[in-house]
Amino acid sequence: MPDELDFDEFYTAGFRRIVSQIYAMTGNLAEAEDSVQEAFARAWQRWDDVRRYGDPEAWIRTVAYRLSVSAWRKAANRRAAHHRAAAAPELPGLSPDHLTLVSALRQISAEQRRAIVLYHLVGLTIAEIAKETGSPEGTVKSHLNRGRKALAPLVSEFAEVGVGGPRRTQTELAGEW
Amino acid sequence: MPESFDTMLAELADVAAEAIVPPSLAEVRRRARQRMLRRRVAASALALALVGVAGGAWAVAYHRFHTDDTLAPMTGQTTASSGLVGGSPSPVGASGTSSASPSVGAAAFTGGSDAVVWQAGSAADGYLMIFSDGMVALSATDVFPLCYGRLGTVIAQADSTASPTVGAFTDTSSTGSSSAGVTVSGQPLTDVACSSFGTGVAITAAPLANGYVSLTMSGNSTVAGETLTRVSEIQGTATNAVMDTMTMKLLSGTWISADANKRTLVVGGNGSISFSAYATAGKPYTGSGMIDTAYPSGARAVFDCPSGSKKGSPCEVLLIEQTAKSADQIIVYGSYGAEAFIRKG
Repeated sequence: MPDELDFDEFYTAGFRRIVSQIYAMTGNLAEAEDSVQEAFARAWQRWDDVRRYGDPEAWIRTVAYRLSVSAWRKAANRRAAHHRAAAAPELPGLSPDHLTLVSALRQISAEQRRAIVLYHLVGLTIAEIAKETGSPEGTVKSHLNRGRKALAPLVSEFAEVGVGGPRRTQTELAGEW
Repeated sequence: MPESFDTMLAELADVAAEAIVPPSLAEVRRRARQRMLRRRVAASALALALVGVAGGAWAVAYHRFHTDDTLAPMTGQTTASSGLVGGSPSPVGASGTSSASPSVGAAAFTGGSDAVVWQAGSAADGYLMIFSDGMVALSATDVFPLCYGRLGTVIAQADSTASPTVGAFTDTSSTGSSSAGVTVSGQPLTDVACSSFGTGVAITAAPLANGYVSLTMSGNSTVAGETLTRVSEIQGTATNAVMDTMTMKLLSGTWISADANKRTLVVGGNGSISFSAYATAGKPYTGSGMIDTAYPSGARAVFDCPSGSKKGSPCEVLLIEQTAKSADQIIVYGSYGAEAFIRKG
């Protein structure tokens, strides 16, 4: 039987934070909420195991990301057409800078975006990102570097990383985000 | 643009976090219980289905043993005759020949669980159908029927609550590798034959967690992979209840796709079937084969390779489902998804 008090605290403390992280990775708040809720439901079913993991929050984040990407892929084709016609609705209260950031994040690949969010928002190290994503550290570094290059024209902090990285076509962008 | 990307990203995340209303813990637990219940129901249904298939196989074997002297099984495969077009329609059954299809596993479409049909997703995503007799049908770009293959062993779901089973999986990836076909590491799909696969292609399937399966193809200089997810039964046809009680009424004659593609199927009274389509870069192509298996609500047709080293061997597969509305309308599952065909004569 899961330790409900322990789980309750974990859920209360982490739900909003993980949703915001998944949102930053996927760009869809509703999808992020649903996938994180599903991940917590799965965690509750096996809480005795999950709580023993070194970082249950990483487990939730990984499961939620996979769920979100999976569900997103099912609808990718349908949504692609909508993306071409109209921008996705934004969160209320976003400043122009935030909107610029959202727009910039939409221009990099999902893998690059995930790596950047884990590094710059979650605060993980390269090794931790590699462990969470199941990718070699070199791949993580590559995603980070390429993501920063792609963001450089829009994010001045990355300007020194360099510009001129390969720009993705509109079709590719629609399929990625 | 502010200089601190980290700060700006954190602010964006804060805005998102403030915009959501976390569901209650009771809601999360209810969702977990529903999920557990669904998995148990699915496991129970699967167990029942396996029992049904085994029982059906035994029943058919018993029936054949006692009626062999009254049956005249067909031998060989013949192309549907155009003379049958417009002739007196007659229900078509399975030819009974399976010489070109080595038997693997339990017999398909037997007994009351004839709807051992496994659905794939949207037409654009493609199909992988694995039938209970080990036959595999998978989508390939610019091929109208599904490509033929066989499964050496049954794919086991990684989900620990489910027993090893067969099923259909749909491609959920939108990567450009799908045209190269599928391959899975672990479970080889054998005898895969299709014009678009070429030669030297190895396809294997590896079950992943939560009902997913990864397919990978290696051959020549390419290695391509797809992730597919298991889905429920065929959509767009009769419900299971109707399917279980219907009698197969696929009539001989000419069937034309209801859309603008004008694909054509010609079904002969002897179980022969041929198709003509414009699917390969707009070029017409045709094929002929036999109704491989008939069951109460549909049939499966296997087409021979028209040329090459595999000429005469199974090459492509169509799954045909009778609709509940009319005997003159069928749903044909090919690489382009479910298509309605209307009988014209």
